[in-house]
Amino acid sequence: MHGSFLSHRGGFWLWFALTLVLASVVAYVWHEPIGLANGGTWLGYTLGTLATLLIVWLTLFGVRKRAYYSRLGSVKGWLSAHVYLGGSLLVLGTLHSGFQFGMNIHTLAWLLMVLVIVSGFYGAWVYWRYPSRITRNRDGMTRDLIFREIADIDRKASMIVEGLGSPADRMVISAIQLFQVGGGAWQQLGGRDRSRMMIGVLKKKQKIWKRVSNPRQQRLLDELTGLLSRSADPKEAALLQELIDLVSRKARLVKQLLNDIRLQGLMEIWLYCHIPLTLALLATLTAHIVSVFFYW
Amino acid sequence: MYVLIRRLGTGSGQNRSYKDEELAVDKLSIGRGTDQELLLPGDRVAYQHAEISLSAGQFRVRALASTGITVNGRSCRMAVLNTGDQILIGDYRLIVIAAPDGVDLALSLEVLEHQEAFAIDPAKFVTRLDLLGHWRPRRWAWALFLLLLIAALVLPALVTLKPEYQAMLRDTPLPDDSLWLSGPLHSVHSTIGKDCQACHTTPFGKVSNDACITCHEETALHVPVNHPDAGMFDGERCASCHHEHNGEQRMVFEDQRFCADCHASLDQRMGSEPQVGRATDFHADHPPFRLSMLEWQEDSREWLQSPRMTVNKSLRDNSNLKFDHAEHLDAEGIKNNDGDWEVLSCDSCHEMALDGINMAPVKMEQHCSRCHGLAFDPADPVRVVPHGKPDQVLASLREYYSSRFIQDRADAGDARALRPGQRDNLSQLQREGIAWVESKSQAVAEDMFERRACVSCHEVDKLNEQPPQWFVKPVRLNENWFVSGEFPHVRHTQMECADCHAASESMQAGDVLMPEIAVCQECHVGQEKKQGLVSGCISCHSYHQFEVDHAGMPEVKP
Repeated sequence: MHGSFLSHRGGFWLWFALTLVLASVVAYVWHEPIGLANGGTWLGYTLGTLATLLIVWLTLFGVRKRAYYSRLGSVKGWLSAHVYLGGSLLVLGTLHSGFQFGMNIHTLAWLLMVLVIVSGFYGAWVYWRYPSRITRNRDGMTRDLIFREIADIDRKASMIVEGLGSPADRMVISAIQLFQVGGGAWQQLGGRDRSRMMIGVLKKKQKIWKRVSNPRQQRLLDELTGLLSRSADPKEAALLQELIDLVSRKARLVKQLLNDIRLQGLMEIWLYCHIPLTLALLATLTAHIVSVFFYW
Repeated sequence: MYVLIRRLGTGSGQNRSYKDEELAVDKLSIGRGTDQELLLPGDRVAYQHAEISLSAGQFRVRALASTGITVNGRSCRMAVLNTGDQILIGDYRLIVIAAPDGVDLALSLEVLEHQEAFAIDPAKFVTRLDLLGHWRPRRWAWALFLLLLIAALVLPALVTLKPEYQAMLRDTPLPDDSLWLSGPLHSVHSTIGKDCQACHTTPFGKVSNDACITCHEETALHVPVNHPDAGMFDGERCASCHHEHNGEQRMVFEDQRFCADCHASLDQRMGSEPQVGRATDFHADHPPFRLSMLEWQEDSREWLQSPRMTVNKSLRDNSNLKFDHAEHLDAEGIKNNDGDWEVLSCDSCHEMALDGINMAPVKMEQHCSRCHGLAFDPADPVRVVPHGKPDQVLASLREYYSSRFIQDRADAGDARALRPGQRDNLSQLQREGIAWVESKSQAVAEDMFERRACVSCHEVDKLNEQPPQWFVKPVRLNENWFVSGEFPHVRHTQMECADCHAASESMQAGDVLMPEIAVCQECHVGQEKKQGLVSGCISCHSYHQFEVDHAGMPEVKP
């Protein structure tokens, strides 16, 4: 039962969709309408009706997906058909237009259809490629586990710095306090580490504390390594060494975590376009159909 | 001020380890916030818990957090610090110790209770898109759905259904039914503007012919109204052929299938005998040309255009003119009035009419008289008779010879004196004159009508009475050979006349010089053949051709 939705039933829906596309292209080329090719010829009406039925059926995937007890085909089969028939809609809808575009709701409906399909294609691509990338990145862990590992490292580090005092304690504690991951959509999808920390700098011979960025704990590692190189006390040096080991482990985990959030986000973000655009398409399609017959 | 912080480590008494840290600060801020000068991690410490400041030589500690501080065992908001004072903040104890040289204030710091280890809290971070409340796709989806439904459907529908909203919405930037426009109107319809209801009179109804006829009431029909099969056109729509909303593209497409779907099988479609042959493609399937001839109606004394007739050898043009095209087009030339040889070409006589369609009528005065002079007396070659009716010719002759008679007599010096009372003499002279003028005029007229001038171009009948009468048969050149088609000469000026009209071989005016269809087909192909000058039906024919209800034939003006 394991296998991609793309090759479901030996790619049955791929061949079905390709046949549909080929048939409509052949019909379009063969058809010589009187006047210009548009949605009002018999082929135009046929393609338009077909495309509308397809759109309605494709939208129903959202219903079928949630109908867990439905026996109307497997969800994987539906998804396979959803992807391939959705792709064929690109050709059907465009041929229905007869390549007549303008600044009106008819073209808006076409444009929304294209955007829905393109976002869907992206979704199919990420569903195909990303799960394995996510698994590879997690390396046998879960996001919760990564978080717990980081927290554990933090606890160990904050205990070590109690014996070290300033400025190591302040740098480590501030790095923990100013650790940042996730947040808004852009932060999640960008994968940029906005963590910061505080370092002491000399300004007019006075030591002041300043916030600096600490991407992937690298700044903290640099500072701790600096302290280690200047340390004359072997006991302090041993503590610093232990601290550096912990923070480097944390840095690896942070990278993993950021990647996980980014990949997971990218795998889901397309739905945030796909679904609103689908409903926008349904509204515009309704207006399109009503208006062409209203002003017949 | 310079502050020394002594962090006390493990051990006790003299052996207790410590680490010193010096700070140069204005005020010593204390808290768990990372911007604090003295950072005390731990939940029980506020971000900004307290501050120590120097004023008037005294160090004061002031609580900033609501939990306050404990100085020397007493909870307080503020205290003046002296050496040995103990400050408790959360689980930390600060003791003011004797300040060494160069330091204003010295504090020892120890942790009383071991602090909960400090670590990140995963719950603090939003790391899933579906946790972003305002980002829920469903909410956006329905908002977009409603927005578009209102903008693209409800508002335009209001504009069309409720006239009271029409002006309001069309004048504002709010969406109106122009969103529904599938394409711009042709500029000939630009006067309609935004008034969609001018043509789309009923919602969900196709544009009716009445809407078109409101403005286009003069448009001719395809068949006369009284045509027995006029019912065939019931239910036909103007919009079947005329497609609007395609911008400046022609509103009627040059597609022969518009016509061919009926003209392929007229005999089956029509109850009556079709008057036109089957035609579906100009090159592949079109009957030979048929010509409408001019016929002189003796009874009504008018010219009528005959029904169209198939061209064959026996078909003659009945213009009543005598004309030898071959002789006129002789490369050697033809002799004119002055006896010179003049080489003529087609356009010496045939000029294009202003409309660019047909040739302008050939005029005797303009085109013929240079050679075909109407002089009648060799002694006076300048004098001509008018190119008119025989009566006018005779009248003109009589006038001329009357004057000649008088002139001749005066020149001869007539000696017969008139005695008073001798009126007979005068009438004798008159009678003589009348007789002479009459006989001279008749003789010249006979010469002109029967032998020399008129007869060279015209058919002349003579009624042998006394005096004889001549009748010149009326002449008219056919300008309407193809009654249902139109040949624009102006669009064929790059061709030679002889390419289509075999005039140089014609010796009779009755010869029909109209080309056969094959001549046109050398260049013009129908729609089915892709190579050549593609010419649909409406290249030559017009759909809207019958303006009157004349039985089967178009009206021909006499």
